[in-house]
Amino acid sequence: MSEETAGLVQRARAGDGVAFAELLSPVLDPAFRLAMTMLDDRTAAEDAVQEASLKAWRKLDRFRDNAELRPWFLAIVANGCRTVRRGRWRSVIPLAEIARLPGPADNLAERMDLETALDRLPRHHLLALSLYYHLDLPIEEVARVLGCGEGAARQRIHRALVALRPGMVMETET
Amino acid sequence: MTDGEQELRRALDSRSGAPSPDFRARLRAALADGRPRPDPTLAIALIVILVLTAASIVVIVPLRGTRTHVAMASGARNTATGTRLVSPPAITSPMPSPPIILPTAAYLSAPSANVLWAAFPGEARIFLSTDQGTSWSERSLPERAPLTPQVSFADGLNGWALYGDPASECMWADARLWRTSDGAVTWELVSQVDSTHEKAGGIRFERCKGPIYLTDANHGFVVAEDRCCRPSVYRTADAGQTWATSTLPDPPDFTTHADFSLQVDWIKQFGATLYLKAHGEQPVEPLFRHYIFRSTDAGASWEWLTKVPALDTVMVTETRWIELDLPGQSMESVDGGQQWHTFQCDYAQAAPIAPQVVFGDPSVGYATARGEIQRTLDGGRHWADIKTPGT
Repeated sequence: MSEETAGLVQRARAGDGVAFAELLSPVLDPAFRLAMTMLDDRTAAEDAVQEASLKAWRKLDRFRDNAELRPWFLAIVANGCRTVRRGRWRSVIPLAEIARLPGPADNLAERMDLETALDRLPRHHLLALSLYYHLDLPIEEVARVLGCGEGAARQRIHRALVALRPGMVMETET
Repeated sequence: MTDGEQELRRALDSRSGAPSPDFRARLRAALADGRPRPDPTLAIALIVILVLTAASIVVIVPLRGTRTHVAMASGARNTATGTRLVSPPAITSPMPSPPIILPTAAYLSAPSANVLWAAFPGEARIFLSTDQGTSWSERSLPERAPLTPQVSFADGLNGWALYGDPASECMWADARLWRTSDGAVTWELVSQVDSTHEKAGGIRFERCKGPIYLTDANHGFVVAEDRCCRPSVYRTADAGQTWATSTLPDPPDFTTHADFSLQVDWIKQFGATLYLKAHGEQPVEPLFRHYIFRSTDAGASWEWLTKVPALDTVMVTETRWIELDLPGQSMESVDGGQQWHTFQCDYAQAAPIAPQVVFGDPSVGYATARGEIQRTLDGGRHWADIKTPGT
């Protein structure tokens, strides 16, 4: 942890909201992107990140000075996203949303299949995939967010891939 | 990276997005309000508890024989001395300021047709309506927490509030169960489970706590669950002084193992019979499965009753169950979940988030929607907004 970050942590612990906002600033974007991939709803993602921010501030005394802020905060966001009630209310994909996937070689039917598969994927699988493939976190940081060892994190990603699409594997396993 | 992984990356990217400037501004404004802290009265209460616990052990332990029930947190409650551990100042009508600024989620409890309780995240207050949501009075909660506490009320006076702190795999690891018997004017800490009370009541502190359900002033239930094992249903018949436990069995087409366990959604009582809704995921189709369990011995044991089609099944009566869905897709069963058909229902909301639906009697029910609460007076066919408390 840099001296500047340590100073922000100290000020935030003392109740300085500006310092805490500054501290969160670099991790807000990945946190929001994680919430979006898990919840697929902008307002719900904003709610989750805001609640996680307040919770993180309240828990800041438990944050170890030599720890990294990003995995710590992402774990709080992920926990929040996992508890958001999930029903069939997200089962309808607006037509306009289908065209948003980039890639000229994409097949529309395959894209829709993948979207549907992601919608149906259990949240703990979605979390593992989002951390590794969407946020591009190194495996050791994925492990910290998931609260497990690196081997277990790799295994969780593998299991999520299989759950998403049987036969899909991580490149490192091929 | 394989083609499949690249395709997955694109799909995940397409679900994502950057936080808007407006959201960043709102977040800064929320942080400018100051650091959220636990209610200081809680710390005072805990100190009192420790002192009383020590005193209780000295006095009670020599007198106590073998118990069949276990206490979740010994000494957490002190009704013997008549001491209220926490008495937050009660606030009643007229409606105070500030208004609820983030009604993004509400937690409802409707013990009867006329009585409705509503709690909100980050609020140390709870709202009571005794006229079906037409008007509200503001009461106190024992803690101010970023998460919405789970609340369950047996009537307009007796209620529970469950608070928890997150652990790495669970939102409700630490848990503090509070009880009120005067309509949320004062609260007392009934039970506490945390790392220092890890084995209290046999509840592993890292297991998720909740949902809770209070049937009357003395009888209530707390569920503990995790990702590997079958849920435990704790029950008390003496307002939380002692607890006994039972385990939910696996339904016929469900096998509990790592990452594939049942989660309890709600418990509800009709007459002498208790019903429990749970859902879980399995590695093969259908991935998501939903079940109703039944207990005819006050929660001492549970039996699987039937499967239900979706997450948000609500029991209006013992035989009439409904499932609110998108317009034109709401489902109804009038034979206890054996057969389902669509029924006319005008509930609608903009957000793609499942509502919380509670019924106080066969006709009157309430449902959350984004930023509002809706009410039905005809068993769920027609819904209309009611005044959101705190606004």
